[in-house]
Amino acid sequence: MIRTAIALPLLLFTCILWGQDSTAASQSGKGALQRALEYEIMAPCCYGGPVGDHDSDAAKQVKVQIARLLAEGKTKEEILDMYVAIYGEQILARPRAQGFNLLAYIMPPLILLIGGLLFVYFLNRIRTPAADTAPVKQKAYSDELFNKIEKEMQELNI
Amino acid sequence: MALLGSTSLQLALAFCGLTLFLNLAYFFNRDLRFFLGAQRGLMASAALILVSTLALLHQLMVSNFDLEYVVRYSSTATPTMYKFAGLWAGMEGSLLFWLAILGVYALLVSYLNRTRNRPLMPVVNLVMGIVMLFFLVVTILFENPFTPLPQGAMVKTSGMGLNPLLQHPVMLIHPPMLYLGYVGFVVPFAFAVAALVTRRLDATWIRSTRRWTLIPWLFLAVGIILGGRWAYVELGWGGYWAWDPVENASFLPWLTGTAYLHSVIIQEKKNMLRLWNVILIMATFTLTIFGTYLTRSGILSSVHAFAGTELGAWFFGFVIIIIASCVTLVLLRKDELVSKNRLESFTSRESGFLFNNMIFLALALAVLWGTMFPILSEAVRGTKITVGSPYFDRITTPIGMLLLLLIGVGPLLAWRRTSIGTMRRNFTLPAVVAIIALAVGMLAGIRRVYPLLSMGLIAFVLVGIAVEVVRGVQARRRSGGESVLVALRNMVDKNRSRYGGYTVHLGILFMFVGFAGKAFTVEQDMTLKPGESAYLKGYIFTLDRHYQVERSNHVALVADISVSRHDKPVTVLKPEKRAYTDQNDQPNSEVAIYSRPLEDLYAVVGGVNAESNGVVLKIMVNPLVQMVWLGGIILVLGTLVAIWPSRTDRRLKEKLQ
Amino acid sequence: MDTVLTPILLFLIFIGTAYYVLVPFLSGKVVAVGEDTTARTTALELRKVSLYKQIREAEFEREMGLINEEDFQRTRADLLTEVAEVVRALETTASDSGTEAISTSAGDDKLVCSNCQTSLIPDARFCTQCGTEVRKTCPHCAAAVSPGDRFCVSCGRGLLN
Repeated sequence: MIRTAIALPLLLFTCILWGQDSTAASQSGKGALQRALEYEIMAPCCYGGPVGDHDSDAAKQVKVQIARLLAEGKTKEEILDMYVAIYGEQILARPRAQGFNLLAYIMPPLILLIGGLLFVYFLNRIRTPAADTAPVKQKAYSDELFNKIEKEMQELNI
Repeated sequence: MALLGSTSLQLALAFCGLTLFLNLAYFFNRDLRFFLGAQRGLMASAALILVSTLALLHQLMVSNFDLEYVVRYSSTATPTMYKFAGLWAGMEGSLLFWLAILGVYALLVSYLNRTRNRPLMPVVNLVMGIVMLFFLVVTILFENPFTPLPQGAMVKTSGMGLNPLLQHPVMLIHPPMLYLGYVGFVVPFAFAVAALVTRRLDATWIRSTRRWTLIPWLFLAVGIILGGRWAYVELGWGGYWAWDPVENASFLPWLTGTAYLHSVIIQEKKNMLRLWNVILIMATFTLTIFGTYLTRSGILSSVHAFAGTELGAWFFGFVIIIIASCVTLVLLRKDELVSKNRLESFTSRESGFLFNNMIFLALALAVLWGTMFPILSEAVRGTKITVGSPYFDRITTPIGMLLLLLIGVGPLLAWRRTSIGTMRRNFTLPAVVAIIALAVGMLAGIRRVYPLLSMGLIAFVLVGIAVEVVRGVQARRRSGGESVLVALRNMVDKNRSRYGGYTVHLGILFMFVGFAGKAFTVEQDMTLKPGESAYLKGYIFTLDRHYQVERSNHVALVADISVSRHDKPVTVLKPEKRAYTDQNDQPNSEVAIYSRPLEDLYAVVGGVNAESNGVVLKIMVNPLVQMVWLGGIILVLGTLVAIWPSRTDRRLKEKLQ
Repeated sequence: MDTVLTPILLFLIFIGTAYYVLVPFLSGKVVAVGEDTTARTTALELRKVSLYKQIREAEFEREMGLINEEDFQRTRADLLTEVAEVVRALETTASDSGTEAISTSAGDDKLVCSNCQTSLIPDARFCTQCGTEVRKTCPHCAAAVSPGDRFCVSCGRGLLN
């Protein structure tokens, strides 16, 4: 139990930092990198969503810019750095996992870890030890009472 | 009429104050007259709020532009049914609407409990009264919808009209559903506080609030799903959930509410977790008020947020007071934590439910963390950052997979204990089918982890539920010789919460199918001249023509796109770009969607390039989106199965009374 | 017209509502009695019904093959023990307030002489026909027992000589 409680958050942490994105699909007409970048950069008009989802002129411009920068041979990180330099960190659809912002990514697995440990601790506390190896309880009740219960259950038609 | 509305609201405040006074007096003198007076006061207050709401609706309907609110959210050109939506379009009206729903709940609860739950009712009354008082004060002092238009203001005599984005049929249902959900949690919260205060954490309050929790939970779910539906058909980006702060705010109480719905079953069965359930309901209610705070304070940027006002501080104060009182109350009653009943085994449905509770809470906390992180980061580092959907997708997808697994495992465990051997036997078939599904997915060329994993888990859950139902029906047929349908009906009726729950699980399963389908969306931006075609995922989209249409409050540019597949015509899509004349020609896209069973064709028109006569289009093929809505419908049906009183319960009720 | 009618209407609404709220004060002081016992009984009855349902559910889960025979026997024994505790608590509550324990079961709520089956009034201490003492508490441990019981629900010792 303890092992599961520790392994699960670790797995989650791995998924969070290095997992796949649902949006980075292979899309027709666009490279995967272009697509991924469109979901890393917010639309600079209102910051209401990533440019990939947004239809404003500003968002369309960014899409064209990304395509041009990729054609020039820039890497993903370089392009992101350029946008951060122009618009500030707010332009990134999710914070980079470094410095203080690493907390954003560490906290959810940490919550799961604490939750898991509490779960194991709590379960151990409220569990009757060896309830399943003890002999089946007998005669804690009289036959009379049992008949009465059986009769009442019949009558109530439960 | 405006006078009637505003004075009723003030009278409601007066009677609400009187209610609280009488109620507090009752706690000191224990004279039932004071309690009865308090109860009547609350009902009177609620009725007055309803009068006031009707008055505002009337003002919207007759377009009385003497009121600032009517000028801002309605116009003579606004279609009648959308004048109705003006009630919740602005801050002032939506607060009144909130109050009206609270009033309806208060009336129902007071009436249905006029003879029942006497020991709990005074506290229930008090809690609902306090919440009502808070909203009345805030509405009357800061956001009175009956404020007349200031003298000498620049008046547009025909009104400014409703935001075109809100002029959609779904918007007539989505906000009321969400409000019914949000506000409804005040009822179980009031009962929980009452149970804690009076030290009656027994089965009574649970029985009294079972339906009062399921109903707001259902409304909230329907509200959230309809919100997604609205985003999908109206916003034109082809998705239904963007992890926007306000969406998260509605999702959070739903998560804790779901956790409660599961753990409360353990209390019903074993009389355990009594304090825990109270805490979950308290958290759920606090989150609803906190969500209201997020929406109305303007501290987070969101498409849903109302303009920020000084209201934020009041709501924040109220949230703090609620949290502080809840924590104090729980600490005062922590001796109730000691339960004499125990869990028998790790491999039992009880521990499955507890694990589920932990996951739901972790999910809720993670979403809350992501939602609040920009504020925290700005406070610490002074730099504005964004925590958008890519973050939440990364965090919630793995937790979602875990929940999916749990949905599958839960029904395979029996109450109290399941020996390992039996469990292994129960797991075999679902696990085998899951592996087959996974292999099929691999063979079909799916190489990505989450869609594959979803396929396997969905198969696992589906087979688990199917096996459970088939075995149940068989068991009934063996012992009672009933026909299949009769056996199914009787089996469900004997245990409505169990089979209603499975149906809800089935609905969630369908939704997950839809979520997995999102990964296979194909999208293309293009500019087509009339007569030109584009090819996308097996479909040929041809722009036939484009033209303008004038309607009552807008001018629309329409593009006719005929779609064919394998040389057979499929449909003609007619997306529109509208300019609303009563809103300074504010543009708004009207998406065209053609739904096939397994995929949606989705078209948005951006505009016409005047020089080249080319029409700017966005075309998407969205696989399996239908499954999300279908799942929603199944979820509603399942909840109704669980809410509906069973024959046994009706009989027992007669006998016990 | 609106300017005259609306204030009148508002005044009437105010008077009506105020009257409605203050009606309870037209009578004398009312103090609730017996609420605690009723509430306790209701809670126990609900608990009992919940346990009955669980027994049925366990039987059903055995039929379905979700649990094996041994697990079922264990669970059933646990549940029956809990029912016995609830029934005893109900009897204690009932003897406090003078109502019958299993009030829902039609056959058992009359007091019957354990010797000659004569029906007796609820408070009878001796049978009107044969003079047998009607035992309502166990002579060994003083727990409340039903008149027909052969063994005490609490200590398990025999009740009939």
